[in-house]
Amino acid sequence: MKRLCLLVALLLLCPALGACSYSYLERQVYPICMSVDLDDDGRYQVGIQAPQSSAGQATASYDILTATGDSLDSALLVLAASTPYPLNFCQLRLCLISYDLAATTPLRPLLRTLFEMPTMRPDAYVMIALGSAAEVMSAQKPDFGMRLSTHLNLLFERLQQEDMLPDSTLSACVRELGDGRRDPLICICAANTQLSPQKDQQEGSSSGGGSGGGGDGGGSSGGGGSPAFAVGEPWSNALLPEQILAGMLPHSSVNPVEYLGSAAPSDGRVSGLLTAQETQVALRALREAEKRVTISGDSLQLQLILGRDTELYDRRDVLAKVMEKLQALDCDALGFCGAASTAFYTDAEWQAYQFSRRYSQAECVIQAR
Amino acid sequence: MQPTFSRSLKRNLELMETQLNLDKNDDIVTREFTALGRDCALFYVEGMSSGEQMADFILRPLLRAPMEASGGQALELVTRRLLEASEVKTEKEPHAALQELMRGQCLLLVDTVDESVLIDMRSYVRRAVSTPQTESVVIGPHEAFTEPLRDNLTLLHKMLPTPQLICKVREVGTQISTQVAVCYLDGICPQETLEELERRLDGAALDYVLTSGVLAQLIEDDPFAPLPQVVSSERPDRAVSFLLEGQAVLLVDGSPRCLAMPMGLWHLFHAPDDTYMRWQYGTFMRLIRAVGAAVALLLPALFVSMVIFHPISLPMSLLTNIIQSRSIVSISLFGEAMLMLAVFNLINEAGTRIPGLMGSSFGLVSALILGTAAVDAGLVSPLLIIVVALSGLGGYALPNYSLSFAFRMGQMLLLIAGGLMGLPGVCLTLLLLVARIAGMESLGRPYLAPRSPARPRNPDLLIRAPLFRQRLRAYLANPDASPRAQGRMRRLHKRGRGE
Amino acid sequence: MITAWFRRARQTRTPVHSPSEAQRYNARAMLGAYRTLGALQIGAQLVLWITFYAYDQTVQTTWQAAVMLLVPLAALWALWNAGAPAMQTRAGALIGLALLPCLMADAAFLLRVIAGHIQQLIPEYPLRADEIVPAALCLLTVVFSRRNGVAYGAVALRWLLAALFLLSTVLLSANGVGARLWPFWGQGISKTALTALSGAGSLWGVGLLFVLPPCGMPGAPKRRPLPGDAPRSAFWAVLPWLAGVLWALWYALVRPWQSGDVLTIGERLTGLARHSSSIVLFELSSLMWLIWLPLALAGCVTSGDKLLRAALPKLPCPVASLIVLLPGTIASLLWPDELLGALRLVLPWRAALSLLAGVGMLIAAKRTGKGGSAA
Repeated sequence: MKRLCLLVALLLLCPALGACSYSYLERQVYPICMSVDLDDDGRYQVGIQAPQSSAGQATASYDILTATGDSLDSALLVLAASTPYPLNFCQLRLCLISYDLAATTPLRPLLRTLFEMPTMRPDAYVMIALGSAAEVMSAQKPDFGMRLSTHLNLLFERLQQEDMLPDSTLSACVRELGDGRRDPLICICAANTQLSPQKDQQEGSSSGGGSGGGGDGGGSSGGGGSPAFAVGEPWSNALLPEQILAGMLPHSSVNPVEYLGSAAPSDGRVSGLLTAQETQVALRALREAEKRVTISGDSLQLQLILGRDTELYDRRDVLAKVMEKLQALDCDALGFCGAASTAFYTDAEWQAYQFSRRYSQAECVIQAR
Repeated sequence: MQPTFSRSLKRNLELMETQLNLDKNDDIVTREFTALGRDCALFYVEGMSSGEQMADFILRPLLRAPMEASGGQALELVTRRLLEASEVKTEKEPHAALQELMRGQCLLLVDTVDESVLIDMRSYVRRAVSTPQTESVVIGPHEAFTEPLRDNLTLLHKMLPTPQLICKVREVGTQISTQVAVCYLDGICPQETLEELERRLDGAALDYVLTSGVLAQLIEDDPFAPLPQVVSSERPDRAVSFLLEGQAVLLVDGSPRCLAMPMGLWHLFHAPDDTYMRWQYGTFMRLIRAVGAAVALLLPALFVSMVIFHPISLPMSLLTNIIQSRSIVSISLFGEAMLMLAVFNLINEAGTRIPGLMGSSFGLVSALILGTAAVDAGLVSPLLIIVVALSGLGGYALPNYSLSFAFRMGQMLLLIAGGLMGLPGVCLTLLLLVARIAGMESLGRPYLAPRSPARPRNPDLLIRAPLFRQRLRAYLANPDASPRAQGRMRRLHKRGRGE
Repeated sequence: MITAWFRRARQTRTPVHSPSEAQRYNARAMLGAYRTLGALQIGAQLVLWITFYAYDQTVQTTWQAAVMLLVPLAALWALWNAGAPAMQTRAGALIGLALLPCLMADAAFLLRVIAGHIQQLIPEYPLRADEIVPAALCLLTVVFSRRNGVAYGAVALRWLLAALFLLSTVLLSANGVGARLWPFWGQGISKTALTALSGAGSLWGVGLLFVLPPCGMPGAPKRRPLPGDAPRSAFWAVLPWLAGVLWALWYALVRPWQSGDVLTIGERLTGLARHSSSIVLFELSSLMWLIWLPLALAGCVTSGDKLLRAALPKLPCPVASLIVLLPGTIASLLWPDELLGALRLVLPWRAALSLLAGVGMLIAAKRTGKGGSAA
């Protein structure tokens, strides 16, 4: 018995001692943000933004590292090999995918590769960057001397309270892009090159929109009539211009990156943009409205049932326009697909119906409860 | 040694000379005299018996006895009519008589009588009843046991004035015997508990049992277990509570601590204050203690494993603080934690041993070493000092001294597991410890009972329910005597009191 | 009258008033402890079956497959309950040995999953240590826990595990969407029923609820079944089944991965938790696996030890424990990638073995009854 216990203890010791080869905490790199772009040659460019870990600094400063590869995996390998310390993504808050990449590449496999990385933080936000994701990432700086991670946490919390931020965490995107019940809206962000509230909004839309022309070039319609914002004035929902998109707020601050609006995916790729207000309406409808689907023969009717005395019902005209836009983009952000599936009993019947092909042509009706 | 005393005083004196090494031993005093028409000899250990009392109550009555007695009557005359002492008994066996002599009794040998007479004239120096050193309370009695067995039994009788309290004194030790009193409440302590305890005391085959701690190690169920299976206390009120719960209490002569068996893990967590205070305060203190125990056992291991292996659960600000504070430390976090815990335990041990006069400077030195100097020298990080200090505080919150040692050892073990294998290591080792403790027994009773396995119990483990809800004795008691109260416990009438 | 009842209800009472009642109570408490351990083992097997095999087959109808398991569960329970009187005979002890291969298969499954989980939590850990260290610590746990330490430890930890389980399912995910349960019949009821049939192997442990602790063990009940035992044993059989149904339901509501996704063991195990809204809940879910799975493994080993030593009393405890643990450890070390695939074929047959053993017990019980009535 004693010999057996000794043997077992020795057996334990050998592998346990081998565990001493872990990486020291202070000899790892903890990226806060990450970017994925496609360069002109169609190669993947991956970048990270990580804090410098010098002791005694009053404010945190951040390094940007990038690497390029033929695929996302190879780009990540090159990135890992080019840093002196191993990368640990457990503190990642933001993952930026460029609009070009998101519009041309199936998103789910891309995001799954990131999601399955060993140390990846599952609740990191995925955002579509208008323009170059790496440039947007390097442009962002924390306000008020905060750490970038704290700044992003607080900002996202604020945006969530205002229903401006869809649930586009890495885990949510991976889950929802594949299950066929809904096309999840993905938040967008862009660097705002305007530094003064008096500048012409047209210039802002051309530099911030880029290939994000699926939006309405928001600044142009809002430029003349929208109220001017002074630096430091809080904005509220009531004052938000209708066509505002990321990269277009007339303000100046240390952090020029804005996170307003969302990208609408369809069939696993981004097909267009929603403005901040459209995103807000869509998210509120997702939360408050009851979704019903009526199928009679070949016709399909999508019904949104709202409470008569709710704010959303009062804005049903805006909601109708949002629905029209979503159908035009072929993005089922409100989850009608899931509602329609309840009318079928087996997977075979459901797949035979091919809801996704009928969605964009379906009639949408908003009713009061 | 001959089995009994001889009728010949001369032979008995030869025996005594041999057994007591009278030619070398100056402590034994022999007083030979003539009384009742025959030779007598009185033996006593100098300093253990009162000379004045001996003269007044033994020698004078014997020497002034006018009558002469025949052989058969002499013993009766001496023991029943002449000696003016409160405790007089006879002993035929020389071995037993010598034991009593060495314990301070006076031994009288009379020619033509084949028995010795033992007279209790003990008057040796003894410590007065003082306050408990290791189990102080705010509310409650402040008496503690002392070394003499008789004094301790007196304290028990004082607190439990009932004929149900049985104190059987027996001896343990193969060469030099020590008196041990087995105390229990008749009808409440189960017979099998007593039988098993007697069996274990019979099996304690050490030459001399010095203190209760030594005896505990000889009679406990599993000497390799991580926790004690015999609870010890220096408080008579606690001993009384053990007796009322159906446990047997052992008092060892020369030891100021009692032992109680069987016991459970909960006995080590409960403090006397818990019962003396109102149930809300008692519950609060127990919860604090439970948190302290968890912090003591787990905090260093969890801190090290989380920081090294699972930084995902730490906020970035804390992670950055840790990285910055460790940037000047040259050893690994695991090594640093082990070093800090070792130093902490060293300071603990030194603090216990250090003479009282040097105590104040000791605190200053240890604070300097642990505090400023070690951090400045880059040996440790400030955050780890806080972790170790908190876990130390948690250990100090435990009311039982043995338990705090067990927790310190468990803390080290879990730290090694966490430092080498992260959270999986901590969980696997914790499971090992839980299973080990759950499998322990105390006098055959499961250690985690009445929680696991279930036993009838009062709601008095972690949460201390109001007294009127605690109607049962512990499951350790005789099931026939389980209920402690008949009817309601608080019979307060609306009009007047005590009607 | 109501207040008087309340006042009386607040007073603690004991069901034990004599030494014989105390003995019966203690024996029942020991039986309860072993049933808790058995329920944890059954629950672990069921939940792992859902995670590794069933969900990929049936997706949104996994919970229906779990509900269908009530039928084999009830059948096995009824069979073993009827055979309970055979437990106190020598024949019963020998028949109990038929459950040993099931325990070995369970141990292999659990060990592989634990190793995969550790590999996911600590990727830089040496590869083979993931198997060796948990196996060694489990063996030490069983050997050092003496007679009943693992069972009593399970009782001590059950509320913690229950809380962690609720945190890992009901409270974990705000992302559970009811629409994901549709189309309701999924790929058809026959496919669901076939999947349920393969899952019946997870319920073999119902037999353990009756055979443990062995009747000859000190403190164990001398005769089986005890009066009023049927509802209690049914409770401990149904509880893990309910846990399995809840787990399957939450998998269907959250859909943590799609069919066709290639996932490691650790990724599957933490699949549900990685979709939580809080890192703390994710860590607590990991904690649940780190306590539940090793405890179930220790339960397998200690059950095997008890069964072997009931039939072969002279067998030393470490040897009996090694008989259960060693095959799984070796298989996990030598064929880590192929083991789960091989177990997929083996695990459903546990139900058949348990059924056979139950039938054997029933026959032995009838013979015992006839012999008793003839006498």
